[in-house]
Order: sequence, then C-alpha cells, then structure tokens
Amino acid sequence: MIIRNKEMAKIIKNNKVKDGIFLMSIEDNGIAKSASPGQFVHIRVSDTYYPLLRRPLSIHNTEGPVFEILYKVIGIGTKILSEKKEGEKLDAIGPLGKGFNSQLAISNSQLAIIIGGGMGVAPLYFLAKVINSKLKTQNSKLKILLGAKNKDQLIYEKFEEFGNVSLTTEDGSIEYKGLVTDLLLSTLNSQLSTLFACGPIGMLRIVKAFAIKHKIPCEMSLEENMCCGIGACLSCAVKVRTQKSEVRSQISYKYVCKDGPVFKAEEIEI
Amino acid sequence: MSLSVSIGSLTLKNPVILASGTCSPDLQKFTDLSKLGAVVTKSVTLNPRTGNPPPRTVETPCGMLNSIGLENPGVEKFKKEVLPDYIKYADKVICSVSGELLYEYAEVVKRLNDTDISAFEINVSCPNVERGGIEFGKDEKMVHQITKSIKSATKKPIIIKLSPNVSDIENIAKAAESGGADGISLINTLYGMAIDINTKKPKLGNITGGLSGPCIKPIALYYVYKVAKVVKMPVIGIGGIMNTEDAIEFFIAGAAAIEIGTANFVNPNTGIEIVKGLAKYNNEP
Repeated sequence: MIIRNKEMAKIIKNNKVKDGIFLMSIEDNGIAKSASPGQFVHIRVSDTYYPLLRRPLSIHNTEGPVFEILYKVIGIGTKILSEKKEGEKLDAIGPLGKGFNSQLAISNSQLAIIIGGGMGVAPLYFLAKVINSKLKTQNSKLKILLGAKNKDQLIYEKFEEFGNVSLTTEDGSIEYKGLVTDLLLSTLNSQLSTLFACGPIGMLRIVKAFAIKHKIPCEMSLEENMCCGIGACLSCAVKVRTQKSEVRSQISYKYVCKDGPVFKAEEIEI
Repeated sequence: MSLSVSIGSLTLKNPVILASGTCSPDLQKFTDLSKLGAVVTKSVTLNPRTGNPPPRTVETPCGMLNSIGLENPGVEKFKKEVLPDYIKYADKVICSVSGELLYEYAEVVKRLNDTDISAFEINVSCPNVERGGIEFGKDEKMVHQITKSIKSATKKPIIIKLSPNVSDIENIAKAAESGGADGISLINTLYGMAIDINTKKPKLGNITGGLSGPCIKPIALYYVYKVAKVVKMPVIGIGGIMNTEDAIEFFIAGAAAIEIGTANFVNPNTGIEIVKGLAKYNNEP
C-alpha cells in the first residue's frame, strides 16, 4: 500500500481516446510496481471541497514506473480529471483492493474468457496482458469479448494484440449488433475454464447466471458508491448470502474497496 | 505548551480524536493512530446489525450523506475480533455505544467494562436506524435517564453524543450533565436526502441519511458555542473539521477537544496534521 501525496505522482499524459473517454498515464513507481490486475487507485481530483471525496479508478495498465487509468467523463470529478495537464501532480492512494486471480486462467489447458461491457474494459486490459504473458508457456487459450453502445464508445484496439477478440455494439456500428453477453451465451461452454467480467450490473447478472448454470469459475469486478476506499466507512456494501443450512440463508455485506472490487460470482447477490 | 485535555478521569495527550464510523483499524496503514488523542470506534450494539441496503453514501456539494445503519458485529464479536486492533494501534480508545432499546446501552457498557477501553461515547443521535439512535436523543428526560443508567453500569467516563436534529439542544446537554455525563460531543450528522432526477428515486438505499463534511461546519460551530455556554463539562466539537484552522474555530467557540470524521475519507492523515498544526499555533506569540 503506497500513499502518494500531491507532490509525488506525476501526470505524464492525459489524452482523449474516444468520445468522452480519456487515458491518463501517471508516473509513480510504488503504485505501478506493486499493482495487480483488478486493483484500483483512489484519486483526489481537487484540493477544494467540491468535489469532496476521492474517486476510485481501476488500474488500466502498468509500464515500468507508470500506471494508466481509463475513464469516461460522467460527473464533476471526472470532468476535473480530464482537464489536468501533462506535468501536473496528483494525490493518489493505491494500489487498493483485491484484484483478479489470473492464475485461474492458466491452471488448466482450456479456454479463459474475459468479458467487458462499456467502461468495464478499464481493468481488463491489465488482466488480459498478464494472462497473455503467462499463457505463452501453456496450452490454455484466451478469448476476449468486448461490447459498448457504439463504436465511438468501444475501447478494443489495444486488446487485439492478444489475438482472439470479438466485438459487439448495441447499434451494430462495429462487428456484431447486440449485447456482449449474446456472444458469451453462444460460446460452447464445455470448453470454458474461467470467466472474468467487468461491466454494467445487467451484464454481470447475465454472466453470473451463465457461470453458475455451467459451473464455470467466474470472477467479476463491481462498483458501488465509495468514500474511504480502505474498509473504514462501510459505504461500498455488496450483499452476500451465507448459507446457514440447506433451508436457511443469511444476508450480510462485503465491501467493494476491501473485499473486492473483484468477487467470485457465486458469493455475491447482484 | 501541552495539548493534553481531560474528560472526567480520562486524560488525552492531545485534543484530536477520530470520530465514530470513520476510522476502523484499517486506517493504521495510512496514518499513525497512536499519535492522536483518541480514536472512537464504530458504534457497537448488543446484537449484530446487518446495516442498510446500498447505496449507503452519496456525495453532495462540500459534503456527503451516509446511511450505513449502524452495521456492526454485536458486542461479543466486537470485543473478541475488532476491539483488540483498536487497542493495539490507538493511544486511547473510546467505544461508541448504541442500542435499539434503552436497556441495551447499559448492557453493552457492562460487557465492555473489563476491557482496555478508556471511555464510552453514547450514540443517542444516529439518524439512520428505525429504532433507538436519535429517538433517545430528542427528549431531555430520556437523555437524563439513559445517562444515569449507563453511569451506574460503569466507572469509565461517558460522553453523550448529541444530534443537531432537535428543538432544544441546550436543555438536552444539561440533562446529560445532570445525569452524570463526563463530557458531551456534538454534532452528529444532520438529516438530509438527495434525489436522482433521471430515475426520480432517492440516491440512498435508505431514502434519507445524515449530512456531514465541511458544509455543516457553521452549524456545528453554532451548536458547540450554544452548548459550551450552558454546561460545565468538556464539550467535544464535531462537524466538518478539515484542517487546523477549522479545529481552532471550535476551540474558540468553547470546545475542549474535537473529532474528525468525513475528513478521514479525504485524507487519512488529517488528524496528525491537525495535532501538528495546533502545536504550532499554541507556540506562536
């Protein structure tokens, strides 16, 4: 865990890559070197009181001492972030949370699928890169399914270096027309070893149902309103069901910031 | 000049305390809890509480709403699994206590008497639970009664935490004092809500919540000023303190100590920065 105050992390690049979507490269050796796929950084976008709270953003990639975040301008926090210039300093805490278990993809010689919808691609590039580098010595295969509303919102180009990528858009402006889960549902599940997912809640529900039906190990990264990012405030609660007996189950909560953001599909109620 | 302050028989090495619900032992990775006057635990109740459905917090201009719903594992599990980490990291641990029924407060306190907790803060001001919480803190007779019942259950100092969502905070503070309180802390969060205009639904799972952060500081300061004039016991000021200057305003208004809440989410090291700032301010001519 590294705390970097505003004197430390330095913005190297902050470029618009698609419609309203930005990629920021930040130099911070401590965060970049200790990050693993699925973890996030907690960024204070402004010294003022509005916006007040930090913004949790997935680590999109790391290259040596630099890490990247991929974000879409949605509200005041991401708007301020998008206006930051090369050379400015950033107050970032991280890497935080529990990421993906990429080892799942290579522990047997079958097919692992990464599925991302909309801005859910943000943590998946880092994951795909790590899995791809380990697969070179294995018989396992990786397939990447990505979807978005239209081609201006679909971040896919960099994923193509990993080979097997299929794309969907809701308006049909690139490859298949439909939802990214349509591609998953048409995949031959007997070949599947693992599923990794991130995207809108509706997408995750379909992925979870598919994984449970076919008994495929599945990890998914979740979002929830977050304050502290370190497990203190209990804001980012996700419902979990603990089976007390065959007929009785009990509801409790886990936390996106500390127990997640990556959870096993079967443990969460979404 | 020493920064130490006494609340009943409890002496703190400095007047900077981290507020309940904002400072689990997880904070130790980002700051040094032992350098603070004290740390207040998340509220503990007799039985476990699951808490409210998400979303539990939402950001508002210069502040935030929360409705966590007093989620906690219950006193027995708290004592075994949570408290030891607070004791390990903090110089002094103040345990926040809440309850759905009146007797539960004294019962929780009794079960924690044999621990290294330094004092109890009695939460009669949580706005986010159906039963108990603020319902006990709105009525001066009830506050008097609850203070008396807890006082007879423990030798440790007790601090009553008040809500601003009441009509007569001065008389409620006096009722706590006459009931035997060693100190009073205020303010807890203010009632608030936020609505999503696209879905036309509340932004919080529990519909309403409690407002905190820098936006409530002037209100908190006003209540501290009013209450400090009518009680003799130490007043602990809480509400939107983000830095040393904010803290000093509370001391000038009459507070003997301060608690930091929402600021911990923005900068987990705020408490230590304020301790240093206060030392510097005191040493200036």
